[in-house]
Amino acid sequence: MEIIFEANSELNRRVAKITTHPAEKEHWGHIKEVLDNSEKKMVVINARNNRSVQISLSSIVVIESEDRMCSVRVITGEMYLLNNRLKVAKESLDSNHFIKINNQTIINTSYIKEFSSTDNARIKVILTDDSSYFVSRFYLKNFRGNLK
Amino acid sequence: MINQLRNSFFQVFTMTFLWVTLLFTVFMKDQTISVLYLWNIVGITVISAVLFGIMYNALWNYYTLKPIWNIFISSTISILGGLIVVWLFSIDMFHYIIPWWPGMLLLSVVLHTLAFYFYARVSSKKNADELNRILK
Repeated sequence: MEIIFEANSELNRRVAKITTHPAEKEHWGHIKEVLDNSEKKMVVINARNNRSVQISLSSIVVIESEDRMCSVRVITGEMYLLNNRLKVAKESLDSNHFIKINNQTIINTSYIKEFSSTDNARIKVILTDDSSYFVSRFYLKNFRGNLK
Repeated sequence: MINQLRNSFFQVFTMTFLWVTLLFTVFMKDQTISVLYLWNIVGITVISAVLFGIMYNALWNYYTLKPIWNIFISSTISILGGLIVVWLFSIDMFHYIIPWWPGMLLLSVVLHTLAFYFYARVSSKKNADELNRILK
């Protein structure tokens, strides 16, 4: 596919306009998904050598609060550190893909496998890598709205 | 979370203050009370606001503790808070009811078990099923 870039000063800086042939309309959703997942990166710290690295947002599975920092786990299982509080991290993430599930945890909804009610009467979300986290009742309301 | 708990605290504080004032007006309107006793009423409302505005709200909505911890924390603190409320209301009434504290604690544990375990289990199952349906 040939890509032509045009500048339009009337557009908001965070908006990109894509023009296609009407026959390509059915692929708009796919194009949007690819762009959403590919362009955004996050700078994290590799704890082994203390170097900053860029990781793609779509590869992030879970972000967990660790006092003033956060731990970030990506789909390959590697762990990184994020030098921000969870609240700050949440603001920089896309709210359609990343949802806070309790006071300490944000998950990527793309990796949700299923929900289950455990023996302890709590709700657990199971991710595609078989890790699981508890969802608090307050954040359950957000969850319902975002998944629909 | 902090903002919501703070709002909840002040809502319960205000409602309890009005409720206690109403009860005093209805049942004890002929009795004169000292100005210092007003602080007892403030104490009663603060305890109620901490229990119902913060503790139950946090345990039920925000924390993901096991039900046994919810039951232990809520039963113990609510009985303690309840006894202090009675003591602030009337020392005579406190001395009258204190011998029954083991029974009150038992009743509290049973009722909290029903709420935090049985009701929460049904509610969790329903929510999990609904979320799984949305995922499909």
